[in-house]
Amino acid sequence: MEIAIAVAVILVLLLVLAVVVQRKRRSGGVIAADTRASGRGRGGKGR
Amino acid sequence: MTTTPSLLLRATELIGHPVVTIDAGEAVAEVKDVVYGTTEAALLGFTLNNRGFLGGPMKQVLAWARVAALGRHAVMIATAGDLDERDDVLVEDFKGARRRNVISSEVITDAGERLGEVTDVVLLVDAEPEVVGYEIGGSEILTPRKGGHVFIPLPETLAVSGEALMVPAAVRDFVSDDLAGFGASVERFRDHLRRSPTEQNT
Repeated sequence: MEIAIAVAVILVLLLVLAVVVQRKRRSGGVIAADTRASGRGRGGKGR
Repeated sequence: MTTTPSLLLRATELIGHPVVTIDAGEAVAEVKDVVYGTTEAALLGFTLNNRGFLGGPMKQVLAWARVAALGRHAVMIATAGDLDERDDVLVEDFKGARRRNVISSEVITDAGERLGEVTDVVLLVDAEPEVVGYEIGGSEILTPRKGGHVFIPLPETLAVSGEALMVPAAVRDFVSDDLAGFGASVERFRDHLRRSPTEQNT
């Protein structure tokens, strides 16, 4: 019985950890790219 | 290129937006990061996630040149093949460029005054979208009300270096507290800089 409970707790913890990691992987931001470092100017133009 | 004329929007609103193909009407990706260049404050494009919660970051990116239309609810591209251009300009910019997430970065003026922290970046979306302002919070100077946010206009060339984002001290005279009236503030600020070019030293 105790073993079953321990396994269930570990599975829940692993699931929570997986959700946290996946949220971190998918999280986005607003990135400033210093294009002077790459020697480029304006990156793209609409068509 | 089809966009709502001169649409002002927060860059973080685009994060998570679906990337939809016009030919098949299929959502092929989601926006992960919004990427802009500091040389001319131009929107360079987007990094992408696969669709769905289990989808991770994609190797492909979407350069602005490949975007057919950008609206409040989706980013439109002609075909799914537009994501496969590994040698496109956004990838090239990413390879050689120093880059950083500007959200939560500190904003200081060229007079050494701390204005606050960036909570969002304002984009002016037209044929050639560009970054025109920061939304900032945590400012004791500009937002004495706790938790208040204001919009500050930016010059046409930005300074992003080290830990802080540098802006001309003159932005204090062109602060706006709502996005609707912010476009006029940006125009007045840039006119001011053109008339006093010595202030545009950032």
